[in-house]
Amino acid sequence: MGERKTIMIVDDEPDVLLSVGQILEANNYRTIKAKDGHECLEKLKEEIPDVLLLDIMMPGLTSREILNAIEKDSRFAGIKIIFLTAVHMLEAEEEDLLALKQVVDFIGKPFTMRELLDAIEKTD
Amino acid sequence: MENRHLFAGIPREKMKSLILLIAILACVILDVYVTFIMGKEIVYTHFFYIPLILAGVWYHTRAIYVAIFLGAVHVLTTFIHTDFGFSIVTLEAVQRAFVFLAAAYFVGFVSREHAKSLLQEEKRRVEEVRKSEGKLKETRDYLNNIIASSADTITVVDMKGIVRDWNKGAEGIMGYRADEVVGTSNRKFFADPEEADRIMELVQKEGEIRDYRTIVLRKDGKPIHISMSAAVLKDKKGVPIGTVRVSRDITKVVELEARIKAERDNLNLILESMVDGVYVVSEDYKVEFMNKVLRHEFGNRVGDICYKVFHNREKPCPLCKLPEVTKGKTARWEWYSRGVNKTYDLIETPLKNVDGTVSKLTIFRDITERKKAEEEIRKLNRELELKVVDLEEVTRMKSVFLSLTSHELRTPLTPMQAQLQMLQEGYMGRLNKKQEDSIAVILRNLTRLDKLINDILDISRIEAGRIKISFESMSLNDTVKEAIKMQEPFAKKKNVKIRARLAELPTIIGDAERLRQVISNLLNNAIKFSKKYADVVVETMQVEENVLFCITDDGIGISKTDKEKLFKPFSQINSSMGREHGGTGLGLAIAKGIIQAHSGKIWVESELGKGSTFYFSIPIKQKITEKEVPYIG
Repeated sequence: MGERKTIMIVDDEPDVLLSVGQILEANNYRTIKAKDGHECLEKLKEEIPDVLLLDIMMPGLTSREILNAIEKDSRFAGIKIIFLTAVHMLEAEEEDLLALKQVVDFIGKPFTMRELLDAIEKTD
Repeated sequence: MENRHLFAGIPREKMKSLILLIAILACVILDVYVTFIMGKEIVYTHFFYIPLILAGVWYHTRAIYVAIFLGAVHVLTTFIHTDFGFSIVTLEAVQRAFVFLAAAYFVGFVSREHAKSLLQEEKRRVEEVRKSEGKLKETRDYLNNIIASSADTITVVDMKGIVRDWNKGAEGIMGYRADEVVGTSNRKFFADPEEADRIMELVQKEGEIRDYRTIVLRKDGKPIHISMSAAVLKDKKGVPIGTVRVSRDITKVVELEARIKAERDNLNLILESMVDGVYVVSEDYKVEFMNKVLRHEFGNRVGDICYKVFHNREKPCPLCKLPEVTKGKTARWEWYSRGVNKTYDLIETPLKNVDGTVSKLTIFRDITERKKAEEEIRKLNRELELKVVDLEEVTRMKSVFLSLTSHELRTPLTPMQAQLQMLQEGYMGRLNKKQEDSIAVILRNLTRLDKLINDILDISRIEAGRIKISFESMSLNDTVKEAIKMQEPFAKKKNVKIRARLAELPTIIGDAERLRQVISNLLNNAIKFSKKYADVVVETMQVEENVLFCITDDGIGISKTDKEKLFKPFSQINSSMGREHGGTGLGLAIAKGIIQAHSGKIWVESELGKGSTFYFSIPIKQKITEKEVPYIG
């Protein structure tokens, strides 16, 4: 692991945002936090992360809309996306979220630290 | 003989010739006397015509001999008297002789012709008589033959009741030979001897009787029903001398009639006691039959015109099926009677009569109650449909509720677990032993809470029929091994040994992850309820077209009543056990749902205190049906 990876965390729950940030920072990752889809897209303009941890059910922009925005912009093509979700079973319209090549994993809430760290390490 | 010739009746030929001879002699004497003694002053030759006519009548044309003879005598006497001179007198005599000859011939000819025609007539008459005699004989023979060969009895009984004639038919029917009964009284033939007198009296009074039914006894004593026709026999003067009787054995007919009557009575009884109405109407709309039910309901209308009495119409009802039914079709329809406020299911069938006409048979089934019940059911169904809609809404809300709840429950669990794990891992500085233990307890219960949420979600999906199974080719044994591996630490902790006996199995089509969940659950239960230091035995085998999994423990066992609720949700046999053994009570219900989604079966054999064996079987050739979204968890 040469360079520190930058990871953007998008979750509407501040405590989740905080805890995940703490775990990742303790494990030597740089984090960018966004509390919703709008903020996520806003911050992506400033800096492009290596990994995007994206909550599926959020108010405001839907995951679909975020994914569409990322898919459209070639600058974002290198971002690996991991979904975080409390909904363990996807409805049909959400299932095609996984079809995008950049989506590499899917972590159900609540997750263990190990699951989280393993998923991020696998993106290498 | 009325047409006979006047003289033809004279019987004796000799007398004829004698009279003729006397007449001739008288003429000769007269001729001689007048010619020679009296002279010729008187006309006497007229008398000569008497023998001539007699001879002509009796001897026909042979009368000319008499004429020649008398002519010759007359000419000769005249000739002699005139001294053999050819005078005018002689010529006159010759002329008279020729007149004699002509007259004799004429009378003879006429008489002969007349006699000829009489003879011919006589001959014809004789011929006719002979012919009619032949016919008469023929008729008599014919009648005799008929009488002899008749199967009916033909007997003659005189006025005193004595049998005078007895034909073959009577022998056959009665068993008596003619020589046994002719000359004896006929009273013995009747079952009731008084019948003999009654019949005799009746025949005499009426002149004849027809189809008189009575019972006679055969020689062997067997009674026979007969139908008798009889007539009085009279002699030439018209005095009755006896009766001729023709009787027919109608025992079979009487028996048949009795049977028909019995059957008709039975049929009638059936029709009368039927709950359904039975109704027959003729081609011309005349009511022929109504059974008791219908008579009770509509009054007795037999003989009336149906449309008039039942429908108050002047013409047949437009809906009437009679025209098509009498053409051989059957009909079935519902009829509501305003008069009695009842609905009938009508079945109409053509009924062929003996005389070739066709009537309409209608069976009335009162379906008023059924109609009401159907209406009631329809109403209930509508209500039920509304309720189902409500229920569907409730189910949908329950689903949404569970989904939201689980999401909302998991959300706080996420930072809790993250923070605790960071504490446990020493991210927040070193922990002492007590702190570590405390955090372990909290984390263990967090895990349990998470599992409970997962189980509740699973069971709600199973109940809603929305369980997601991703079918793939898989090895059951591999899944079993994996599950064992996962449960090994727990078994070790409980000092239980897991022993596996896995047979070679074909691959099956199934969801390995879901089946592992089932097997883990069964293993976990077995270990949980097993005694310490005991074995839990896991087996797999192929049974026909299924793979079978079974797991046996020697634990506390399950009673019969508990077995029934075992696979139902939230049914852990008693709730204290749940706490003691750390289960949610949903595991077996979820297992059942998963196995059923594989078209398999799950069951248990157990005896209280003696351990349990859980089984599940899955068909090998299970088709892949991936109509549902795969489960991700």
